[in-house]
Amino acid sequence: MTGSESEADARRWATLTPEALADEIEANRRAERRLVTIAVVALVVTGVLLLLRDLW
Amino acid sequence: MSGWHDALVVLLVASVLLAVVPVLAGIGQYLLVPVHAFRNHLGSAAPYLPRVVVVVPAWNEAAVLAASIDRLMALEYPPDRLRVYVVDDASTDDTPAVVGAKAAQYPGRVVHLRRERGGQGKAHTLNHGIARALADDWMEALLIMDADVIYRPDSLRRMTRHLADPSVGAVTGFIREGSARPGVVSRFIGYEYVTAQAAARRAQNVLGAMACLAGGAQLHSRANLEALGGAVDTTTLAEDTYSTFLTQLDGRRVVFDGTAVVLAEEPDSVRALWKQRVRWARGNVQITSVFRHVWFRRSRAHRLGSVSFGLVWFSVYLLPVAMTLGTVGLVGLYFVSPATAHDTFQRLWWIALAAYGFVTTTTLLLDRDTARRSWFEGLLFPGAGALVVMLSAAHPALLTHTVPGWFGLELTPTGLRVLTLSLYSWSVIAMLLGFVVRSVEALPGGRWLSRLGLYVVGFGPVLCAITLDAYVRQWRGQAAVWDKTEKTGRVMG
Repeated sequence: MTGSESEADARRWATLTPEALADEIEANRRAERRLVTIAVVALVVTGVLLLLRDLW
Repeated sequence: MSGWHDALVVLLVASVLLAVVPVLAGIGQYLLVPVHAFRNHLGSAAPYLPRVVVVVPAWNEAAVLAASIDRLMALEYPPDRLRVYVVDDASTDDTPAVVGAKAAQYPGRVVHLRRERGGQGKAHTLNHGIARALADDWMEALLIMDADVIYRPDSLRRMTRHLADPSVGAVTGFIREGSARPGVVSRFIGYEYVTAQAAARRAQNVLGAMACLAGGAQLHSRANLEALGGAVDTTTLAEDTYSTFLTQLDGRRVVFDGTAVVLAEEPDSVRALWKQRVRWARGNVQITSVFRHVWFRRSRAHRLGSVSFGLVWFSVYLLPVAMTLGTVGLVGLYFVSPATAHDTFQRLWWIALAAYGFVTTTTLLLDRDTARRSWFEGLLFPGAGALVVMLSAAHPALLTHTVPGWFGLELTPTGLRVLTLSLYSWSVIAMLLGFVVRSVEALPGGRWLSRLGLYVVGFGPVLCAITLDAYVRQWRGQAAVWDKTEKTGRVMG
């Protein structure tokens, strides 16, 4: 279980029914979208770093 | 005379530019990570729980095997669809007794396969188990793992779901450093694994070409194993990479699932790390040579020959060369055109600073469990020395005037020359200091000094030093021995 998954979800997925497994796949697929947020934050941090370099 | 001078300047600048290629390739790979949000294999995955045989190669693994087997038996996976074959490679410790006890505890689910004449290496051990698994029709998928890794309960089913797509031949998971009490080296490795797996392999999913199935987490479909000849390669030190390439060359996909987490205890000494990574790097030299007909040649069947994947592969493979070229270029420019050297140095480290900011932030956010343990090692991954060089590239007066001024000192022209040349050469100096970090560790009280050195020199440059050492050993034709990395069995969870 990763940090973004709830205990209840994990318990349901562990039942291994086709519905539960399909739900787990969909949840993991949705969770991958956080990569976009991470990239945006990383770009902002990089921009600030370069700005500080010029200002300092 | 002027023509020769200009040509030399162009040559030296080109040398520096070549050094930038791996940095740009690294940034490029990281820019592909967010693309994985929309371009991943989860859309083609489906609930699928095939009958899986887990092959565990074991040579004197008594300290770690019991916990690994117990965790495999506790996997959230149908018990009647999971069998574990422990291939005991003529162990001389308590491995047979440990496996025997587990076979009795889990009858029919844990099988002890003993090789009476062992010592031929991991690949031969694996092949013993694979042959047994292929001997009947029960097995539908085969998982190759290391004896000391711990699978999270949900990890296996998160790998098998990708095999529901028949175009996929093999799946790998995310090996996370999971020592219960990680030391400095382990924490650096933990961070490195996020960059090399959680980030890089997502990018490779997007590219459609995978560099390597993690040795401790390789799931193959039966069809794939049979197409590979029913065995893994025994001629190189990188049987996992070999299988990865053969699978893709044969037109089947290799997929990475970052949510399938496997915990591993990694070395916590520079010398143990060195031994492990020299083996890996020598394996990569062999792979580069064996598959020389693949590089930069496009194919309809696979993407290994794409320019993008070639850049990714050779950026790692030739990193020590690139670092050396950068230094040669800058130092050469210093003597023939100091102003060009100064400008090039500033621009070079501007790119390095941008790469550092983007890569470090992405890595720390990508796996927060590792970030909590290894954030300091992440910040100092390129080394405190490299961070100082970045600062001085932005502010040349920092080291030449400001810092000496704090102590009422002024640099002499010779001191200034030495300092400038040291800054220009830092990437090579750091790589060479990597050898010192390893040597110091063996001295009395050297462990502490070696750890301090690791923070100053940086983990990245130490890895480059190891790669360089591996190339020299390979070039000298040193015997390719399968040295085992010692583990203690202290994996958390």
